[in-house]
Amino acid sequence: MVDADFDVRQMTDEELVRAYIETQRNFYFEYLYQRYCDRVYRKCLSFTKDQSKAEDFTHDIFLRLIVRLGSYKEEARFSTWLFSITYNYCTDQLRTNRRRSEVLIDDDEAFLDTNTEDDTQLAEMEASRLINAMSQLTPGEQSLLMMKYQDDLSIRDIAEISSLTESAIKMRLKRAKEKLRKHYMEALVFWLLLLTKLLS
Amino acid sequence: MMEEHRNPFKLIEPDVSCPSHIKKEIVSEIDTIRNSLKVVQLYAGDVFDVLSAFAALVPVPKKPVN
Repeated sequence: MVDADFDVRQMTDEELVRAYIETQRNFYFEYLYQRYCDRVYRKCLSFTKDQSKAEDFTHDIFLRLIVRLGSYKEEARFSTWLFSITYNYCTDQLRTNRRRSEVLIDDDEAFLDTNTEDDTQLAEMEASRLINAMSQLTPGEQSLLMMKYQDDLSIRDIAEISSLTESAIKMRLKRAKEKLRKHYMEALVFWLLLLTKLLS
Repeated sequence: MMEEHRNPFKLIEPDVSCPSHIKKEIVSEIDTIRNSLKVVQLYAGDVFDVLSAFAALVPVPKKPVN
């Protein structure tokens, strides 16, 4: 039996989940909600670019969380599990009906190493053009890049969230970065050409 | 990992807070679901008791002895 007077601020996420399941007191859920609602909402807004849709997504994600709370076995951290629900929900909602082309997984492990030179190039990108380039990617590709570079999740965590192997994640991440770079450079070249034309 | 100050991905994350009304809506829905389940449990219990009472009144046919 959990002592309700225990300082809830000191409780870990997993302890709050256990307390909520045991007592069914909304107080524990509301505290957990306060810890993560902003992050979940920001993720939803990043995907939807629409405040009203982001609110609906956030609402549905937390309801989904509540319904599945009984099945949370603490095999992963609570935050990883919540990210999993968030990213999977957002990508499912936004995924188009277009046929997904087969992605062949390259077995060459050396080829799959996360490249720090790629990261340096990404770090040089200008924010507003990055937003435009990101919007050209699929929701799944956006998810991967956000998990890696916004949420600083490890490849292992991302693999767990996406229910894929680590090598599959590395390959998809590599392709997403290449696609992002391509769209970013295309936009940059376009604006440079336009500027040249206007100045001439 | 990219350095914090050079990470444009961190810069493009919206700097907003979750609207407060969402929490109230979610908590209200949780309470509604929980209360509905309690009502269903209560009535299901009563219906089961009535069915059991009726079943007790129905005589069980005896097997013929050969």
